[in-house]
Amino acid sequence: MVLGMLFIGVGMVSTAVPLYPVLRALHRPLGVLILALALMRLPLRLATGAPALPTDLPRLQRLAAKASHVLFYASMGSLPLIGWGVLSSSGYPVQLTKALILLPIRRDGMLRSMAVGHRATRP
Amino acid sequence: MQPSRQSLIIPTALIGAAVLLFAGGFAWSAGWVGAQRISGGNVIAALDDSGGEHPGYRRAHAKGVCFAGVFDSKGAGAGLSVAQVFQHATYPAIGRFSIGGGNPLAADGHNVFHAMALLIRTGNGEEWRLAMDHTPIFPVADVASFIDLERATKPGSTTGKPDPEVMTAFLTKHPELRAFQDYLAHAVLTNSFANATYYSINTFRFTNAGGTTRPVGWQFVPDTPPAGLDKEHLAELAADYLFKEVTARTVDGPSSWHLQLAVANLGDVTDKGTVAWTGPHETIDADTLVMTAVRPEVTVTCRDLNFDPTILPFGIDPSDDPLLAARSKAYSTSFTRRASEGAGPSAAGEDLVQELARRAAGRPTSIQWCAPSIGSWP
Repeated sequence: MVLGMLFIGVGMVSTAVPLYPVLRALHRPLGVLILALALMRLPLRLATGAPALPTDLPRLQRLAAKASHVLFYASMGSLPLIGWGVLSSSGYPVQLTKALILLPIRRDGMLRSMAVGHRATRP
Repeated sequence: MQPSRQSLIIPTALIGAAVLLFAGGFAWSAGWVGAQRISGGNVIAALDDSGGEHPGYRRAHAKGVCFAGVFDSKGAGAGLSVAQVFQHATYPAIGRFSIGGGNPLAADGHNVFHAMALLIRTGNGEEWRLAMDHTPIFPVADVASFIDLERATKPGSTTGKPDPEVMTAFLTKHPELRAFQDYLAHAVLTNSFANATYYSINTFRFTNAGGTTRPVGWQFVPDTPPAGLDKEHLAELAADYLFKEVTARTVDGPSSWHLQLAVANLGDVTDKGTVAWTGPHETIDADTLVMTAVRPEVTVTCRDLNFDPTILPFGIDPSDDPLLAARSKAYSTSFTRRASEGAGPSAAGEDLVQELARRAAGRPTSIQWCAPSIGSWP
Protein backbone atom coordinates (compact mmCIF):
# COMPACT_ATOMS: atom_id res chain seq x y z
CA MET A 1 0.00 0.00 0.00
CA VAL A 2 2.84 2.34 0.92
CA LEU A 3 4.73 1.42 -2.25
CA GLY A 4 1.55 1.96 -4.27
CA MET A 5 1.17 5.41 -2.75
CA LEU A 6 4.68 6.39 -3.88
CA PHE A 7 3.79 5.58 -7.48
CA ILE A 8 0.33 7.14 -7.30
CA GLY A 9 1.77 10.28 -5.74
CA VAL A 10 4.41 11.01 -8.37
CA GLY A 11 2.03 10.00 -11.17
CA MET A 12 -0.67 12.32 -9.88
CA VAL A 13 1.69 15.27 -9.86
CA SER A 14 3.01 14.61 -13.35
CA THR A 15 -0.10 14.86 -15.49
CA ALA A 16 -3.18 16.89 -16.38
CA VAL A 17 -4.99 14.15 -18.32
CA PRO A 18 -8.11 12.31 -17.04
CA LEU A 19 -5.87 9.87 -15.13
CA TYR A 20 -5.15 12.74 -12.70
CA PRO A 21 -8.56 12.78 -10.94
CA VAL A 22 -8.51 8.97 -10.85
CA LEU A 23 -5.14 8.91 -9.06
CA ARG A 24 -6.24 11.72 -6.77
CA ALA A 25 -9.36 9.75 -5.84
CA LEU A 26 -7.13 6.78 -4.91
CA HIS A 27 -4.55 8.89 -3.08
CA ARG A 28 -6.82 10.23 -0.34
CA PRO A 29 -8.56 7.08 0.94
CA LEU A 30 -5.28 5.12 0.67
CA GLY A 31 -3.46 7.76 2.73
CA VAL A 32 -6.03 7.65 5.51
CA LEU A 33 -6.05 3.85 5.42
CA ILE A 34 -2.26 3.82 5.83
CA LEU A 35 -2.60 6.22 8.77
CA ALA A 36 -5.23 4.03 10.42
CA LEU A 37 -3.22 0.83 9.90
CA ALA A 38 -0.02 2.49 11.14
CA LEU A 39 -1.80 3.64 14.28
CA MET A 40 -2.99 0.08 14.87
CA ARG A 41 0.41 -1.39 14.13
CA LEU A 42 2.47 0.95 16.32
CA PRO A 43 1.24 -0.26 19.75
CA LEU A 44 1.55 -3.87 18.56
CA ARG A 45 5.13 -3.24 17.49
CA LEU A 46 5.95 -1.58 20.81
CA ALA A 47 4.34 -4.41 22.78
CA THR A 48 5.74 -7.35 20.86
CA GLY A 49 9.11 -5.96 19.77
CA ALA A 50 11.05 -6.95 16.68
CA PRO A 51 13.34 -9.95 16.03
CA ALA A 52 16.91 -9.30 17.19
CA LEU A 53 19.44 -8.19 14.58
CA PRO A 54 22.29 -10.62 13.81
CA THR A 55 24.96 -10.21 16.50
CA ASP A 56 27.81 -9.88 13.97
CA LEU A 57 26.22 -6.81 12.32
CA PRO A 58 28.57 -3.79 12.34
CA ARG A 59 27.55 -0.90 14.63
CA LEU A 60 26.85 1.48 11.78
CA GLN A 61 24.54 -0.94 9.98
CA ARG A 62 22.75 -1.67 13.24
CA LEU A 63 22.17 2.06 13.70
CA ALA A 64 20.95 2.45 10.10
CA ALA A 65 18.49 -0.42 10.55
CA LYS A 66 17.06 1.12 13.71
CA ALA A 67 16.88 4.65 12.26
CA SER A 68 15.16 3.60 9.05
CA HIS A 69 12.66 1.65 11.13
CA VAL A 70 11.79 4.72 13.20
CA LEU A 71 11.72 6.94 10.12
CA PHE A 72 9.34 4.53 8.40
CA TYR A 73 6.84 4.65 11.25
CA ALA A 74 7.16 8.42 11.53
CA SER A 75 6.46 8.81 7.79
CA MET A 76 3.45 6.52 7.86
CA GLY A 77 1.97 8.65 10.60
CA SER A 78 3.02 12.12 9.51
CA LEU A 79 2.58 12.09 5.72
CA PRO A 80 -1.17 11.34 5.74
CA LEU A 81 -1.61 13.97 8.47
CA ILE A 82 0.29 16.53 6.40
CA GLY A 83 -1.92 15.79 3.39
CA TRP A 84 -5.05 16.09 5.50
CA GLY A 85 -3.75 19.35 6.98
CA VAL A 86 -2.87 20.86 3.59
CA LEU A 87 -6.35 20.10 2.24
CA SER A 88 -7.92 21.56 5.38
CA SER A 89 -5.95 24.78 5.39
CA SER A 90 -6.48 25.27 1.64
CA GLY A 91 -10.23 25.21 2.19
CA TYR A 92 -10.80 21.99 0.23
CA PRO A 93 -13.36 19.49 1.44
CA VAL A 94 -11.38 16.46 2.70
CA GLN A 95 -13.23 14.11 0.43
CA LEU A 96 -12.14 10.48 0.83
CA THR A 97 -14.85 9.06 -1.38
CA LYS A 98 -17.92 10.63 -2.94
CA ALA A 99 -19.85 9.63 0.17
CA LEU A 100 -17.27 10.19 2.90
CA ILE A 101 -15.89 13.59 3.87
CA LEU A 102 -13.55 14.05 6.83
CA LEU A 103 -13.56 16.98 9.21
CA PRO A 104 -10.93 19.56 8.42
CA ILE A 105 -7.97 19.51 10.84
CA ARG A 106 -7.83 23.26 11.21
CA ARG A 107 -11.30 24.58 11.86
CA ASP A 108 -11.79 27.85 10.13
CA GLY A 109 -15.07 29.68 10.40
CA MET A 110 -18.48 28.36 11.23
CA LEU A 111 -19.38 26.30 8.23
CA ARG A 112 -16.05 24.52 8.02
CA SER A 113 -16.70 22.88 11.37
CA MET A 114 -19.35 20.58 10.08
CA ALA A 115 -19.68 16.99 11.19
CA VAL A 116 -18.41 14.16 9.06
CA GLY A 117 -20.79 13.97 6.15
CA HIS A 118 -21.70 10.44 5.33
CA ARG A 119 -24.13 8.57 3.19
CA ALA A 120 -24.41 4.83 3.37
CA THR A 121 -24.81 3.76 -0.22
CA ARG A 122 -24.79 5.18 -3.64
CA PRO A 123 -28.13 4.92 -5.44
CA MET B 1 33.51 -20.90 4.50
CA GLN B 2 33.37 -17.85 2.25
CA PRO B 3 30.93 -18.23 -0.68
CA SER B 4 32.69 -18.42 -4.02
CA ARG B 5 32.72 -15.41 -6.29
CA GLN B 6 30.72 -17.40 -8.87
CA SER B 7 27.84 -18.19 -6.54
CA LEU B 8 27.34 -14.48 -5.76
CA ILE B 9 26.70 -13.50 -9.38
CA ILE B 10 23.12 -14.74 -9.62
CA PRO B 11 21.83 -13.24 -6.33
CA THR B 12 23.56 -9.93 -7.09
CA ALA B 13 22.04 -9.84 -10.56
CA LEU B 14 18.57 -10.59 -9.16
CA ILE B 15 18.83 -7.88 -6.52
CA GLY B 16 20.15 -5.43 -9.10
CA ALA B 17 17.32 -6.26 -11.50
CA ALA B 18 14.72 -5.75 -8.77
CA VAL B 19 16.20 -2.37 -7.84
CA LEU B 20 16.39 -1.30 -11.49
CA LEU B 21 12.82 -2.42 -12.15
CA PHE B 22 11.57 -0.52 -9.14
CA ALA B 23 13.53 2.64 -9.92
CA GLY B 24 12.53 2.44 -13.59
CA GLY B 25 8.87 1.99 -12.71
CA PHE B 26 9.04 4.92 -10.33
CA ALA B 27 10.71 7.15 -12.92
CA TRP B 28 8.07 6.17 -15.47
CA SER B 29 5.23 6.88 -13.01
CA ALA B 30 6.70 10.28 -12.32
CA GLY B 31 6.99 11.01 -16.04
CA TRP B 32 10.78 11.37 -15.94
CA VAL B 33 11.15 8.76 -18.67
CA GLY B 34 8.85 7.77 -21.53
CA ALA B 35 6.43 9.89 -23.51
CA GLN B 36 6.34 13.62 -22.76
CA ARG B 37 3.50 14.50 -20.39
CA ILE B 38 1.64 17.72 -19.84
CA SER B 39 1.63 18.70 -16.19
CA GLY B 40 -0.14 21.52 -14.40
CA GLY B 41 3.19 23.36 -14.47
CA ASN B 42 3.23 23.26 -18.29
CA VAL B 43 -0.21 24.91 -18.42
CA ILE B 44 0.87 27.59 -15.95
CA ALA B 45 4.09 28.20 -17.90
CA ALA B 46 2.07 28.72 -21.09
CA LEU B 47 -0.29 31.14 -19.31
CA ASP B 48 2.61 33.05 -17.75
CA ASP B 49 4.38 33.23 -21.09
CA SER B 50 1.31 34.56 -22.86
CA GLY B 51 -0.12 36.88 -20.21
CA GLY B 52 3.04 37.90 -18.35
CA GLU B 53 4.15 36.78 -14.91
CA HIS B 54 2.04 38.04 -12.01
CA PRO B 55 3.18 36.14 -8.90
CA GLY B 56 0.57 35.79 -6.18
CA TYR B 57 -2.43 35.92 -8.52
CA ARG B 58 -4.58 33.40 -10.31
CA ARG B 59 -2.92 32.48 -13.59
CA ALA B 60 -6.16 32.99 -15.44
CA HIS B 61 -9.06 35.28 -14.53
CA ALA B 62 -6.61 37.18 -12.29
CA LYS B 63 -8.75 40.29 -11.89
CA GLY B 64 -11.82 39.60 -9.80
CA VAL B 65 -14.15 40.53 -7.02
CA CYS B 66 -15.90 38.42 -4.36
CA PHE B 67 -19.61 38.15 -3.79
CA ALA B 68 -21.91 36.48 -1.29
CA GLY B 69 -25.45 35.33 -1.57
CA VAL B 70 -27.83 32.46 -1.16
CA PHE B 71 -28.77 29.50 -3.28
CA ASP B 72 -32.50 29.06 -2.95
CA SER B 73 -33.57 25.61 -4.07
CA LYS B 74 -37.14 24.87 -5.03
CA GLY B 75 -36.49 21.13 -5.04
CA ALA B 76 -37.12 20.73 -8.77
CA GLY B 77 -33.56 19.52 -9.44
CA ALA B 78 -34.06 16.48 -7.19
CA GLY B 79 -35.53 14.59 -10.12
CA LEU B 80 -32.13 14.74 -11.79
CA SER B 81 -29.73 14.46 -8.86
CA VAL B 82 -29.74 13.32 -5.24
CA ALA B 83 -27.30 16.14 -4.39
CA GLN B 84 -28.49 17.86 -1.24
CA VAL B 85 -28.16 21.20 -2.97
CA PHE B 86 -31.31 20.34 -4.94
CA GLN B 87 -33.37 19.60 -1.84
CA HIS B 88 -35.90 22.30 -1.05
CA ALA B 89 -33.94 24.70 1.21
CA THR B 90 -31.72 27.77 1.15
CA TYR B 91 -27.94 27.32 1.13
CA PRO B 92 -25.19 29.90 1.62
CA ALA B 93 -23.05 30.67 -1.41
CA ILE B 94 -19.95 32.71 -2.10
CA GLY B 95 -18.51 33.46 -5.48
CA ARG B 96 -16.22 35.51 -7.60
CA PHE B 97 -16.70 37.54 -10.76
CA SER B 98 -13.71 37.92 -13.03
CA ILE B 99 -12.67 39.09 -16.46
CA GLY B 100 -10.34 37.05 -18.67
CA GLY B 101 -6.57 37.02 -18.77
CA GLY B 102 -3.75 36.65 -16.31
CA ASN B 103 -3.09 40.35 -15.62
CA PRO B 104 -4.66 41.39 -12.30
CA LEU B 105 -4.27 45.06 -13.20
CA ALA B 106 -5.69 44.91 -16.73
CA ALA B 107 -8.28 47.51 -17.70
CA ASP B 108 -11.74 45.96 -18.00
CA GLY B 109 -12.07 47.07 -21.62
CA HIS B 110 -8.83 45.35 -22.55
CA ASN B 111 -10.20 41.87 -22.09
CA VAL B 112 -13.96 41.99 -21.60
CA PHE B 113 -15.12 38.64 -20.41
CA HIS B 114 -17.58 37.63 -17.72
CA ALA B 115 -16.84 34.65 -15.52
CA MET B 116 -18.61 33.54 -12.37
CA ALA B 117 -17.13 31.14 -9.84
CA LEU B 118 -19.39 29.80 -7.15
CA LEU B 119 -19.15 27.67 -4.02
CA ILE B 120 -22.28 26.30 -2.38
CA ARG B 121 -22.11 24.49 0.94
CA THR B 122 -24.78 22.17 2.22
CA GLY B 123 -25.07 21.05 5.83
CA ASN B 124 -23.55 17.62 5.26
CA GLY B 125 -19.97 18.73 4.65
CA GLU B 126 -20.31 18.64 0.89
CA GLU B 127 -19.44 21.44 -1.47
CA TRP B 128 -20.36 22.23 -5.03
CA ARG B 129 -17.76 24.38 -6.72
CA LEU B 130 -18.54 25.86 -10.10
CA ALA B 131 -16.35 27.82 -12.50
CA MET B 132 -18.43 29.25 -15.31
CA ASP B 133 -18.01 31.60 -18.26
CA HIS B 134 -20.41 33.71 -20.28
CA THR B 135 -19.61 31.43 -23.20
CA PRO B 136 -21.37 28.04 -23.44
CA ILE B 137 -18.33 26.51 -25.13
CA PHE B 138 -14.57 26.46 -24.60
CA PRO B 139 -12.13 27.49 -27.35
CA VAL B 140 -10.31 24.14 -27.45
CA ALA B 141 -11.10 20.57 -26.45
CA ASP B 142 -8.03 19.39 -24.53
CA VAL B 143 -5.03 20.49 -22.54
CA ALA B 144 -2.43 20.14 -25.32
CA SER B 145 -4.52 22.36 -27.62
CA PHE B 146 -4.97 24.86 -24.79
CA ILE B 147 -1.20 25.23 -24.41
CA ASP B 148 -0.89 25.66 -28.20
CA LEU B 149 -3.65 28.28 -28.10
CA GLU B 150 -1.88 30.26 -25.38
CA ARG B 151 1.31 30.21 -27.46
CA ALA B 152 -0.58 31.26 -30.61
CA THR B 153 -2.36 34.15 -28.90
CA LYS B 154 0.74 35.51 -27.16
CA PRO B 155 0.83 39.26 -27.82
CA GLY B 156 3.80 40.38 -29.91
CA SER B 157 6.37 42.50 -28.07
CA THR B 158 6.02 45.41 -30.50
CA THR B 159 2.43 45.12 -31.75
CA GLY B 160 0.78 44.01 -28.49
CA LYS B 161 -1.36 41.71 -30.65
CA PRO B 162 -1.03 38.03 -31.56
CA ASP B 163 0.89 37.25 -34.72
CA PRO B 164 -1.82 36.81 -37.42
CA GLU B 165 0.25 34.19 -39.25
CA VAL B 166 0.63 32.06 -36.14
CA MET B 167 -3.11 32.45 -35.48
CA THR B 168 -3.99 31.36 -39.03
CA ALA B 169 -1.79 28.30 -38.67
CA PHE B 170 -3.45 27.50 -35.34
CA LEU B 171 -6.94 27.82 -36.87
CA THR B 172 -6.00 25.47 -39.69
CA LYS B 173 -4.92 22.88 -37.14
CA HIS B 174 -7.78 23.62 -34.73
CA PRO B 175 -10.91 24.51 -36.73
CA GLU B 176 -12.96 23.89 -33.54
CA LEU B 177 -11.84 27.32 -32.35
CA ARG B 178 -14.10 28.94 -34.96
CA ALA B 179 -17.27 28.09 -33.02
CA PHE B 180 -15.92 29.98 -30.00
CA GLN B 181 -14.83 32.95 -32.13
CA ASP B 182 -18.23 33.07 -33.83
CA TYR B 183 -19.97 33.01 -30.49
CA LEU B 184 -17.89 35.91 -29.20
CA ALA B 185 -18.51 37.85 -32.41
CA HIS B 186 -22.29 37.42 -32.39
CA ALA B 187 -23.38 37.12 -28.76
CA VAL B 188 -24.36 40.17 -26.75
CA LEU B 189 -21.45 41.28 -24.56
CA THR B 190 -23.35 42.42 -21.49
CA ASN B 191 -22.55 45.67 -19.72
CA SER B 192 -22.59 44.10 -16.26
CA PHE B 193 -21.61 40.94 -14.44
CA ALA B 194 -25.17 40.96 -13.09
CA ASN B 195 -26.99 40.56 -16.41
CA ALA B 196 -24.78 37.93 -18.02
CA THR B 197 -25.66 34.25 -18.45
CA TYR B 198 -23.09 31.84 -17.06
CA TYR B 199 -22.60 28.37 -18.51
CA SER B 200 -21.22 25.11 -17.09
CA ILE B 201 -18.93 24.88 -20.19
CA ASN B 202 -18.48 21.12 -19.68
CA THR B 203 -21.07 18.37 -19.24
CA PHE B 204 -21.57 16.63 -15.90
CA ARG B 205 -23.38 13.46 -14.86
CA PHE B 206 -26.39 13.78 -12.59
CA THR B 207 -27.67 10.71 -10.72
CA ASN B 208 -31.12 10.68 -9.15
CA ALA B 209 -32.64 8.63 -6.33
CA GLY B 210 -33.80 6.01 -8.82
CA GLY B 211 -30.18 5.43 -9.83
CA THR B 212 -30.62 6.96 -13.28
CA THR B 213 -27.57 8.87 -14.49
CA ARG B 214 -27.97 11.51 -17.18
CA PRO B 215 -25.57 13.96 -18.82
CA VAL B 216 -26.48 17.50 -17.80
CA GLY B 217 -25.24 20.97 -18.65
CA TRP B 218 -26.46 24.14 -16.99
CA GLN B 219 -26.74 27.86 -17.21
CA PHE B 220 -27.41 30.63 -14.72
CA VAL B 221 -29.89 32.91 -16.47
CA PRO B 222 -30.04 36.46 -15.06
CA ASP B 223 -33.30 38.01 -13.90
CA THR B 224 -31.77 41.38 -14.83
CA PRO B 225 -32.44 42.03 -18.52
CA PRO B 226 -29.24 41.89 -20.59
CA ALA B 227 -27.92 45.07 -22.16
CA GLY B 228 -24.91 45.00 -24.43
CA LEU B 229 -21.66 46.92 -24.56
CA ASP B 230 -20.56 48.56 -27.78
CA LYS B 231 -17.95 46.06 -28.95
CA GLU B 232 -16.33 48.65 -31.21
CA HIS B 233 -15.46 50.94 -28.30
CA LEU B 234 -14.43 48.56 -25.53
CA ALA B 235 -11.05 50.23 -25.14
CA GLU B 236 -12.82 53.38 -23.95
CA LEU B 237 -14.32 51.65 -20.91
CA ALA B 238 -13.07 52.90 -17.54
CA ALA B 239 -10.31 50.68 -16.09
CA ASP B 240 -12.54 49.08 -13.42
CA TYR B 241 -15.87 49.69 -15.14
CA LEU B 242 -17.37 46.23 -14.68
CA PHE B 243 -16.18 45.83 -11.09
CA LYS B 244 -17.37 49.27 -9.95
CA GLU B 245 -20.68 48.76 -11.72
CA VAL B 246 -21.46 45.46 -9.97
CA THR B 247 -20.31 46.86 -6.61
CA ALA B 248 -22.57 49.92 -6.92
CA ARG B 249 -25.49 47.89 -8.26
CA THR B 250 -25.35 45.46 -5.34
CA VAL B 251 -25.33 48.23 -2.74
CA ASP B 252 -28.63 49.33 -4.32
CA GLY B 253 -30.10 45.83 -4.19
CA PRO B 254 -29.53 42.15 -4.89
CA SER B 255 -29.29 40.52 -8.31
CA SER B 256 -30.51 37.03 -9.06
CA TRP B 257 -30.15 34.20 -11.55
CA HIS B 258 -32.16 31.06 -12.26
CA LEU B 259 -30.22 27.83 -12.54
CA GLN B 260 -31.49 25.99 -15.60
CA LEU B 261 -30.42 22.34 -15.77
CA ALA B 262 -30.51 20.97 -19.32
CA VAL B 263 -30.48 17.21 -19.98
CA ALA B 264 -28.48 16.14 -23.03
CA ASN B 265 -30.39 14.75 -25.98
CA LEU B 266 -29.23 11.58 -27.67
CA GLY B 267 -26.59 12.69 -30.12
CA ASP B 268 -25.41 15.69 -28.12
CA VAL B 269 -21.64 15.83 -27.73
CA THR B 270 -20.96 15.50 -24.01
CA ASP B 271 -17.20 14.95 -23.95
CA LYS B 272 -16.06 18.05 -25.83
CA GLY B 273 -16.33 21.53 -24.40
CA THR B 274 -16.01 22.96 -27.91
CA VAL B 275 -19.35 21.72 -29.27
CA ALA B 276 -22.59 23.47 -28.30
CA TRP B 277 -25.85 21.57 -27.92
CA THR B 278 -28.47 22.70 -30.37
CA GLY B 279 -32.25 22.51 -30.48
CA PRO B 280 -34.72 22.14 -27.60
CA HIS B 281 -33.72 20.35 -24.42
CA GLU B 282 -35.54 19.05 -21.38
CA THR B 283 -34.78 21.89 -18.97
CA ILE B 284 -35.46 22.18 -15.26
CA ASP B 285 -35.57 25.46 -13.39
CA ALA B 286 -33.89 24.18 -10.23
CA ASP B 287 -32.72 27.03 -8.04
CA THR B 288 -32.39 30.77 -7.68
CA LEU B 289 -29.04 32.34 -6.88
CA VAL B 290 -29.44 35.66 -5.10
CA MET B 291 -26.32 37.82 -4.87
CA THR B 292 -26.60 40.12 -1.89
CA ALA B 293 -23.12 41.59 -1.41
CA VAL B 294 -19.94 42.36 -3.31
CA ARG B 295 -16.56 42.85 -1.66
CA PRO B 296 -13.01 43.37 -2.95
CA GLU B 297 -10.95 40.18 -2.95
CA VAL B 298 -8.43 41.34 -0.40
CA THR B 299 -11.02 41.58 2.37
CA VAL B 300 -12.75 38.22 2.07
CA THR B 301 -12.50 34.49 1.53
CA CYS B 302 -13.02 33.96 -2.18
CA ARG B 303 -9.44 34.94 -3.04
CA ASP B 304 -8.12 31.95 -1.09
CA LEU B 305 -10.34 29.37 -2.70
CA ASN B 306 -9.74 27.18 -5.70
CA PHE B 307 -12.98 26.97 -7.68
CA ASP B 308 -12.16 23.52 -9.00
CA PRO B 309 -15.14 22.37 -11.10
CA THR B 310 -14.49 18.74 -10.16
CA ILE B 311 -15.30 19.36 -6.47
CA LEU B 312 -18.84 18.06 -6.63
CA PRO B 313 -21.48 16.83 -4.19
CA PHE B 314 -22.72 13.26 -4.08
CA GLY B 315 -25.13 12.95 -7.02
CA ILE B 316 -23.04 14.96 -9.51
CA ASP B 317 -19.98 13.53 -11.26
CA PRO B 318 -17.66 14.79 -13.98
CA SER B 319 -18.31 13.63 -17.55
CA ASP B 320 -15.72 12.06 -19.86
CA ASP B 321 -14.72 15.51 -21.07
CA PRO B 322 -10.90 15.55 -20.71
CA LEU B 323 -11.04 19.31 -20.21
CA LEU B 324 -12.41 18.82 -16.69
CA ALA B 325 -9.29 16.97 -15.51
CA ALA B 326 -7.11 19.60 -17.19
CA ARG B 327 -9.01 22.46 -15.55
CA SER B 328 -8.81 20.75 -12.17
CA LYS B 329 -5.06 20.20 -12.48
CA ALA B 330 -4.27 23.66 -13.83
CA TYR B 331 -6.38 25.39 -11.17
CA SER B 332 -4.70 23.31 -8.48
CA THR B 333 -1.21 24.19 -9.70
CA SER B 334 -2.15 27.87 -9.95
CA PHE B 335 -3.54 27.69 -6.40
CA THR B 336 -0.42 26.02 -4.99
CA ARG B 337 1.86 28.50 -6.75
CA ARG B 338 0.05 31.59 -5.53
CA ALA B 339 -0.23 30.14 -2.03
CA SER B 340 3.56 29.84 -1.87
CA GLU B 341 4.11 33.23 -3.53
CA GLY B 342 1.82 35.07 -1.10
CA ALA B 343 -1.22 36.95 -2.32
CA GLY B 344 -0.79 40.41 -3.79
CA PRO B 345 -3.18 43.29 -3.12
CA SER B 346 -6.61 42.84 -4.60
CA ALA B 347 -6.52 43.92 -8.23
CA ALA B 348 -9.69 45.97 -8.27
CA GLY B 349 -9.21 46.60 -4.56
CA GLU B 350 -8.60 50.06 -3.12
CA ASP B 351 -10.95 51.79 -5.52
CA LEU B 352 -13.73 49.38 -4.72
CA VAL B 353 -13.32 49.84 -0.97
CA GLN B 354 -13.71 53.60 -1.47
CA GLU B 355 -16.61 53.19 -3.85
CA LEU B 356 -18.35 50.89 -1.38
CA ALA B 357 -17.83 53.33 1.53
CA ARG B 358 -19.06 56.24 -0.57
CA ARG B 359 -22.14 54.32 -1.64
CA ALA B 360 -22.93 52.96 1.79
CA ALA B 361 -22.55 56.38 3.48
CA GLY B 362 -25.55 57.81 1.68
CA ARG B 363 -27.83 54.86 2.27
CA PRO B 364 -30.50 54.21 4.87
CA THR B 365 -29.66 51.57 7.44
CA SER B 366 -32.35 49.22 6.15
CA ILE B 367 -29.84 47.91 3.63
CA GLN B 368 -27.83 45.51 5.69
CA TRP B 369 -24.66 43.72 4.96
CA CYS B 370 -26.32 40.34 4.80
CA ALA B 371 -23.63 37.94 3.68
CA PRO B 372 -23.96 34.43 5.01
CA SER B 373 -21.14 33.35 7.26
CA ILE B 374 -18.79 31.23 5.23
CA GLY B 375 -15.22 30.92 6.29
CA SER B 376 -13.71 34.25 7.23
CA TRP B 377 -16.22 36.33 5.26
CA PRO B 378 -16.78 39.25 7.65
